[in-house]
Amino acid sequence: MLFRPDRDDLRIIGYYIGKVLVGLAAVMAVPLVVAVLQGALDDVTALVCGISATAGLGAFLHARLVTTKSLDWSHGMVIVALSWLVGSAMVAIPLYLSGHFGSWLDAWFDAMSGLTTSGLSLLQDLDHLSVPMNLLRHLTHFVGGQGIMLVVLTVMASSGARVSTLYVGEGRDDRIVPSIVATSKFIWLVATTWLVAGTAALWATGLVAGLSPGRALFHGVNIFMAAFDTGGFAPYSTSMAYYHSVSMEVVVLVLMVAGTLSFGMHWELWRGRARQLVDNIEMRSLGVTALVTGGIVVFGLVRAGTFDTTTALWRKGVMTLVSAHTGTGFAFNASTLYVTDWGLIAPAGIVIAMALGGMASSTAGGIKAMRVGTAATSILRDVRRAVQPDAAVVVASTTGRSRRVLEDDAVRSAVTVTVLYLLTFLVGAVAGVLADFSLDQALFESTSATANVGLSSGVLAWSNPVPLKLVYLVQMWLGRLEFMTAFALVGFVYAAARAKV
Amino acid sequence: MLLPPSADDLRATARTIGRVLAVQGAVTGVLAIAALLTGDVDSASALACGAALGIGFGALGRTVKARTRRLTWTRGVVAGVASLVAVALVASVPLWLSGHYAAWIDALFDAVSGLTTTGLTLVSDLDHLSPTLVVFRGTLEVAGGVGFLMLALSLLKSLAMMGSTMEPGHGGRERIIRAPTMLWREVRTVVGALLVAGIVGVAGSLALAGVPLAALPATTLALTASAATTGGFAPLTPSVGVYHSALLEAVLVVLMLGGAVSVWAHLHAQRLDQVRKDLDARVFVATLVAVVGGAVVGLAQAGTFSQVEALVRHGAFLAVASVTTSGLSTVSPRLLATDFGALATSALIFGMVVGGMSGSMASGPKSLRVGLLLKGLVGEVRRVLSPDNTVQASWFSHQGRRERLTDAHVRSAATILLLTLAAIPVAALALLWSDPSVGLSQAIFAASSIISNVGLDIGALRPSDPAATRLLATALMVLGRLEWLAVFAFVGTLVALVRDGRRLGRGPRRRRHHARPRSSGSPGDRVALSRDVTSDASSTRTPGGTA
Amino acid sequence: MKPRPRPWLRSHLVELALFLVVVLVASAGIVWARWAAPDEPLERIAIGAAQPDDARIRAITCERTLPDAVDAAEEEAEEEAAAPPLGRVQSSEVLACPDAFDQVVVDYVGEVVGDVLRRDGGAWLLVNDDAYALESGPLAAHDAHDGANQGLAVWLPTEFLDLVDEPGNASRRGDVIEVVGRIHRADPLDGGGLTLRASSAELVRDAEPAGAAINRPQALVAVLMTLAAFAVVAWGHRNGRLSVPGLRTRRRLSKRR
Repeated sequence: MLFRPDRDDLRIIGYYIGKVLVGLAAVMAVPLVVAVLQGALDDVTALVCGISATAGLGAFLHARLVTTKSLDWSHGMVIVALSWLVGSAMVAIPLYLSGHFGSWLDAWFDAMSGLTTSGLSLLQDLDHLSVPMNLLRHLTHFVGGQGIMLVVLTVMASSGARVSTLYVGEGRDDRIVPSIVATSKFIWLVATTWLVAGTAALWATGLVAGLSPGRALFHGVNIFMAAFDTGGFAPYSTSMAYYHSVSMEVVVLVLMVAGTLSFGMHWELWRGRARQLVDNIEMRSLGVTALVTGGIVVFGLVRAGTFDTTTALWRKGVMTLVSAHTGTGFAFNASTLYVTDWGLIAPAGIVIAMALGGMASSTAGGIKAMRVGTAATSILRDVRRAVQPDAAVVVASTTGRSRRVLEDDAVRSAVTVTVLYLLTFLVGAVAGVLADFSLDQALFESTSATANVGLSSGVLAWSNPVPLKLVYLVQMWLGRLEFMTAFALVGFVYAAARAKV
Repeated sequence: MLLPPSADDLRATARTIGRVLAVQGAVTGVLAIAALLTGDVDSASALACGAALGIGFGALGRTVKARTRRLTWTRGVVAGVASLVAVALVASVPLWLSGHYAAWIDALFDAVSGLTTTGLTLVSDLDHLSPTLVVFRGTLEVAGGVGFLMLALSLLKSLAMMGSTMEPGHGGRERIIRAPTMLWREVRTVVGALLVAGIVGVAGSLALAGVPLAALPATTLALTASAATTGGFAPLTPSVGVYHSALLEAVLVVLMLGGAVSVWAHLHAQRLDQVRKDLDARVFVATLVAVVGGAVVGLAQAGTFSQVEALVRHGAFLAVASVTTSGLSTVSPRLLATDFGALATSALIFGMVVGGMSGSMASGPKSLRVGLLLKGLVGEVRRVLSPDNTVQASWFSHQGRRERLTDAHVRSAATILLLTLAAIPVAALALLWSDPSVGLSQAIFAASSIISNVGLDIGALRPSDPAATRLLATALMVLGRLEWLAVFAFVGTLVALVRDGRRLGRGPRRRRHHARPRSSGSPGDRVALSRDVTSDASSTRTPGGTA
Repeated sequence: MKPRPRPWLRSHLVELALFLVVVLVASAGIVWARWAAPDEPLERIAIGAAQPDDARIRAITCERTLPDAVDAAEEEAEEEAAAPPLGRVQSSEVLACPDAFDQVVVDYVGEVVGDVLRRDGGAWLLVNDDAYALESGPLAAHDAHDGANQGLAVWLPTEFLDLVDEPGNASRRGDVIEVVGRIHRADPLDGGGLTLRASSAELVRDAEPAGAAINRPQALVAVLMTLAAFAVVAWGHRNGRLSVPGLRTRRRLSKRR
């Protein structure tokens, strides 16, 4: 039976959400410092509004609902699902006050897009957006990518043993080292190392590309956060095409791939176990799907006559594919061109790549290589059973970080979530179609939202009807939480209503 | 380790193919005589060639002597697939000789399309095709519909009915529990009733629609065969739209639904409470409602038809045609491609990808599989909501029995569905590659139509496409109709045959039986299996390498 | 079975209502701050109307040419190369129909935004011709929302770079320039990007500041909300329910149920 929530359950949920909000307020203080240094008064007041609202609400919840009861599984799920909703709504405050959004919903959309590392945007006149606001947008990638819960976990490492449910709820079932706190510390170690190295590389290449040192730092930090966290926001409307720089694209390529690797894989590499790159089922699955979709994209571009030089196929076609497959969503040309210049086959390949996504327990979105690999192994095993009916038992195994036999329940949960993703892609596409877009464009956009990619074929615009924006917003949320956590919230609300708390 | 079929197995397979071919030959012969009587000598000679080939090879197959009559999963699959290939090859001959096909592979495509009850066609100038050949195409649909139904109910029980023996478990050697003769009685009752009722209804409504008496028999037979077997070949290019008769459309809708409802449900029509609880039936009805709704709303939104009557008529007919995987159509492919709006098109694609009930003549991944997957999904959500993540049992009703949903159910349902869903982009990309003027939704539509053996035509697959595309489409129709795994089993057997062929003729190696194959079957299966083991222990080979 | 405690939410209705009122007031304040923001659009830049109805553009169909037809297209392109400039085009036209504009010499007006990416022989610029560039100026200064930005990547040779010393940013509209140059649908020198390689350029209007006015209502709301937040923190701290870094909590957290 479903559990019946009581007052203590509500307390504990509110208490932890309070903690999350205080953490988010701290994050928003970073662009505030920049704004103060720049003397941009409107930005300062906008950010102060956001910070005080978030911190005030957080502190209130924290203080009013303080409890020492420990978390259990369902609490963790509900807290995570709610935190993403409430947190993004709070981050939307300074964005909205920047004046670059048509409505508060648009700002919320962008905050959700940032935190879920999607990169779709309803922001208007990005090219005139101030530096602190741009930094705030990209920071949401970094915070959301590493996991809001992780922020909380590290900031408040003392909060009890069962905080791990928070971490699982965020789609991070891959516990690298036994202690959850140690795991989160390792994740921050990895992220910070990459932050320093990646920003430095982008800064240097930015200088080569013709940026002044200060501007190169601004671009470097922002692009790093968007690339490594497979986000996809960019400081200027033309995204990566703004820079016209091969060297920068190479750095970004490395960062995107690094971002789509799970932290487990980073751990293995950190420990010098390079063999994992070849043995791991997710790596294999990624390799195969990247090759296949890459083949489709290159073939489609050649067939449509879009590009005829290797350089162009590489810098536009393959880069876009990597951007799609890793769930980043950087654009390497204007989004209109996918429709007007890319033919049909190449965008279809991009859609497939977006849908498949990166590795589980990374910042990437999509169905995830883990599930694709599990489902494929299972299907292959069924095929082998059919092909070799004389063999008594056909055993399949997968190599994650250790080798294990593939059981039906693992397959079941993999295919269940896979099917949920597929359904969500389709539902979003139908919503797009209802708003009078063509099926291919609607499918592209819906997949991009659900898989937290952020590439756009030009459907998403501030002039979209509100329901369509809401559909994409929910899709991003569902996709990031991989459904189950979101369902837990719905179930909790239902149970709470029934139990008349 | 793969073991080749024994020589005796091969002989038995040859006998089965012989019988199927002989029946097919005889039917073709009857049609040849009919053509001769109507004075259509060219068609008569073409059909006679087909009849001669069928009866000749059939007789040849029947001369082979086989000792064992034991049917096993693997052998049943091999016999089924091989018969399909043989009949398709023979049936392509009269079609090709008719002169209505630009290439032989087009005729083969049509033969396979008929036998897999798809209904897509690569024929040129269908409107001038001789009536006997039109009826011949109908017979292919009946042969395919009934044949696959038998195969699914007996041999492929494991694949189609999704009991607990979903895989060819037990080393692929478990006996078929239900005797084909008993099944045949049930199938004969249901299909016979459908066809007779269909002929009466279709003939009546055609006559009322003003079809001249001379054209009535051929048209009636062809349309009835197409609708009742969920085939979809039409006597004339505009399909059903040419008759402009609401009554005929209503009759055909009933027939299509009849073809897509499982034999079990037909036989238990009085026990409505049981049928109502059946997971398969529920999902089927829900899909139907959703697709009809989606199609009608989509058409209304797109403004394709201005009158409500036209809207509902076309929307509902096409929706039924897609969910039942029949593929008869009331509108021209061109209209479907250009004028239907994205929502209606999406709804039809959805219907095609779900398909009809399992254990019926319909194809597609089947509503039971979708139902199992949805059940699994709900179970997963409930697991998340339960305190501390405990697994909870869920149950479903299947053909009057209450069964427990296992992980294996979900996995095997997902295997077929995901294979289908993965094949759609492959076929769609092939179609996009073949013809740059084809749009994406058009390609996805056509791909679903091919893989789910529906036959709704949107004008994406044409005789002018490269041969590779047409062959791919042919192969995908077979794969989709045989639900993938059967074809893989067939291929596996062929590989074993080629690799270990030299051992042929020595007959089954006799070995002592060591261990019972691991059984995961239902109690009934286990009983059957143990009987199998005890009675045939001496002739049963152990899995290779264990001895 | 022990009796269920009184429903918690119901017993705290007043508190809950107060909480909702505070949230509503805060939201209203934020919306008001946005609504009362200064609305001072810049002056529209008067330039000649674009010439979308040029006969040649109408003649060029928007269909993509397939590889088989490429030879013919190349010949066409050579013919066009010899033809005089097409006249002023907008970026939206070019993006909607890139193949039709490939290798065509056009006239293009827009605002330089972001950075001047100096390289050997010139610089890459992002030149926007959307409403924010040519009509109302940076969005922060006004309320005329018009969607996302749109522009073209322009390669400007060194001799014209003096024209663009002030690209646009949040607080100013950048230099508006008019360039004449050839459009490359897939520029081999830019890895296949869609570019406009300018052969000449002139300044249409100098950069001008925008959004200098401060949003006073927003400042007021910020101050009030900060005070409110501090009040909450102080209250929590007094109750010993909130630990503030650097401050000793007065009462220890009592063990609760």
